[in-house]
Amino acid sequence: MTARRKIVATWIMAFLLGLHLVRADSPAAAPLSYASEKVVLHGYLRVRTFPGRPNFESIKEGDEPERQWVLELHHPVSVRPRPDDEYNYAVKNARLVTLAPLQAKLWPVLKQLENKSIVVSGKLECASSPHHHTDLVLTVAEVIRE
Amino acid sequence: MPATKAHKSKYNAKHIIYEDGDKKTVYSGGSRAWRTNNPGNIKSRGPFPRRHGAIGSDGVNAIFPDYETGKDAMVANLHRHDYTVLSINNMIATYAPASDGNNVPAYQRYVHDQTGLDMNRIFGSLDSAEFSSVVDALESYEHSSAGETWVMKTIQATKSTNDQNFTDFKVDGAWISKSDAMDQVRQDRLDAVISGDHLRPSPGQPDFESIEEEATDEEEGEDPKHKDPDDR
Repeated sequence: MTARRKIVATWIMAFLLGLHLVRADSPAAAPLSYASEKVVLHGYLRVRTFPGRPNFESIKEGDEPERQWVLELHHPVSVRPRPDDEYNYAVKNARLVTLAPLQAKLWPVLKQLENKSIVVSGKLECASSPHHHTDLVLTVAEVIRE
Repeated sequence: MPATKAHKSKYNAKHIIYEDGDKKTVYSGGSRAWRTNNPGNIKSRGPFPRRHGAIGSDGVNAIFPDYETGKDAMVANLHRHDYTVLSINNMIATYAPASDGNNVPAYQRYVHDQTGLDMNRIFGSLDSAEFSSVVDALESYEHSSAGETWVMKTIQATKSTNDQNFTDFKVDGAWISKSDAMDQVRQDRLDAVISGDHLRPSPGQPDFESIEEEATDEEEGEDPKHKDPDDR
């Protein structure tokens, strides 16, 4: 094998490995990690209305409605915390992920992508506030239409 | 002494029952955060709530033995790395995500107005007084409100026609009928369990037979409005 072929083969291997790591929600994918700086998820972007303040139980009984972006995953994901992770819990076969865009510039982008199939990247955490109505929350770094 | 376990009432969705030995205290009404001593509305899933003193669950949220323990858990929860590396503004955008254009900025403005802090500061860089001021602002934004508490009464004595059919119950020194006792149980005022047409002791309580009294022993403490079946 020539040196050039070796370089090409190495690049192909790296690309395939990258695909495997990045496409986190492919069927039979290994559990994801909360510790990862970035995961990539694929699904339909929906807007869901949940009961908010003060009791987070029932809009009918007086809770404020709170509308949130939720990703309906094309394939369920599982997430496993590290043994020393005090905060996050294990989640199996989650189909919904709440999206938390940190940058205001992402809001109009997400608005335009509602009900479309999207690819979104960011950092995962488990539900940690009363405003989290799904087990998983993704702080959104990037989003594109699939 | 703080309660050692707590659970949602079987009869009332908005009652939480705290148990400390034989003493059962009911938190009724108010906001869920108040009823569960959980100002952060921390969910009961995962090991975090138990590690921070939770003694039960209302089905979704953790129940803490007292407000102080719940507040400490709320502070600990906000110390998670996912929040402390963010600016205060971004911590709020993560804590309360919304697709509505106004909800997140309104929350951020409220916390800024309450604390006076530069909202672009990193949440984890705040000193303890500043951190506490943000926690207090989050708590007040969530609109918690207090309800009513009472200690459940216990059955002091019973009368029966036979071992299976208890007809009268002595509560607070007065005899009441089975139907009145059942009403009190349904309201979580009296500690017993309704089983079909019968009242039974709550788990861990002594059998009614063991606290049964002869009618003649209790004539003086009798409620004049209520006549014993034996007197009819």
